Amino acid sequence: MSQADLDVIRRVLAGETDAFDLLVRRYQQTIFRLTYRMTKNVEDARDLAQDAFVQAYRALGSFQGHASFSTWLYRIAMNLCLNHLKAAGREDPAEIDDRLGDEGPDALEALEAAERDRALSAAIAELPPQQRATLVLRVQQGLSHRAIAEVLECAEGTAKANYSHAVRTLQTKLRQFRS
Amino acid sequence: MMPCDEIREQLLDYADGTLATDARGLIARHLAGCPECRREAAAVSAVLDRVLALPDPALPDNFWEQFRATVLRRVAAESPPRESVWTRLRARFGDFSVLRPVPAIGVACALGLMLAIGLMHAPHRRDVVQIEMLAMADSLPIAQNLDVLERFELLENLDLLEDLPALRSPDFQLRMRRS
Repeated sequence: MSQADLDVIRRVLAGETDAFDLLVRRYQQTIFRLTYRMTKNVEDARDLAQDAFVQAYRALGSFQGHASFSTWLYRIAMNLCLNHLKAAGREDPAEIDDRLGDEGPDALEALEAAERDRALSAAIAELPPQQRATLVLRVQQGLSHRAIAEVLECAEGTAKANYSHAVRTLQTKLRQFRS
Repeated sequence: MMPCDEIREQLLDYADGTLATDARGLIARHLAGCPECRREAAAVSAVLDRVLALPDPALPDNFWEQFRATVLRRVAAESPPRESVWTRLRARFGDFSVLRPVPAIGVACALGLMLAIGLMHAPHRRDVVQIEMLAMADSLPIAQNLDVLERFELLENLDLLEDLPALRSPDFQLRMRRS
């Protein structure tokens, strides 16, 4: 794990609690992006990301450094997201991301790209939570299958299978969108 | 040449860049000569590229300052995190990976202790044997007189003794001989 993270954690645990700000600054965007990709809602994503940092602070004393701090933080954030999705049920894909594809050189091209992105976002939102989590962690966060298995507390083979299912589903949805 | 089915199963890993160099070379050679698999590979890559390229949401300028301020305010309201006993011991004496099964061993010992206490308070086997022997003593005379019971038919006819003339009657003697 990153020595810099470990140093900050030691300082916080030694009583220098203000040092936690360094960890928040370092990971806030990554964690927010993760929660946003899972919820597709800025307010929910913000609240969940903040909850993840507060939970991490509470549990910092039990952090043992077997995994990296970022993996540990991902796990906390992802558990919060999965619980949130479970409690809220599937969101309405119509509510997803009105801002998608609002830029582009040509208006028609931009519109098409926006529609395609919207369809893709809707398809991601319809994936089962574990598949969505795996896809987000792999493609958008760049985690290895092994790290994903650590975050989601599942077997590496399960993570790989979920990822494969997710990509195949999206492939089918995009094909349907094109036709 | 590898069959197309086997190639297609690996296209996701190929697009992901997680294949070993020789397997990657094998697939690249197959794709060079197989337009259908090449199309499939392009579709998989397109899905991954598009998921990766999904735009982030538009956030207000002060979003991250407010985000961090909220986290730090909530964290300040928490009691400072303390290193757990295990983490402190690990820091002082090194890794305790050998002792990781300790909780399981502890539970096993507790269960064993509970079982032992339960056995100590249960009726002793010798008491049980004594109770069984007492019960047998009660039924011993009955057991000894089993031969009487076997000849119960005779007992049934004892009241006939009150009527000796009847016993001497030819009918009765004939019936006894037959039985």
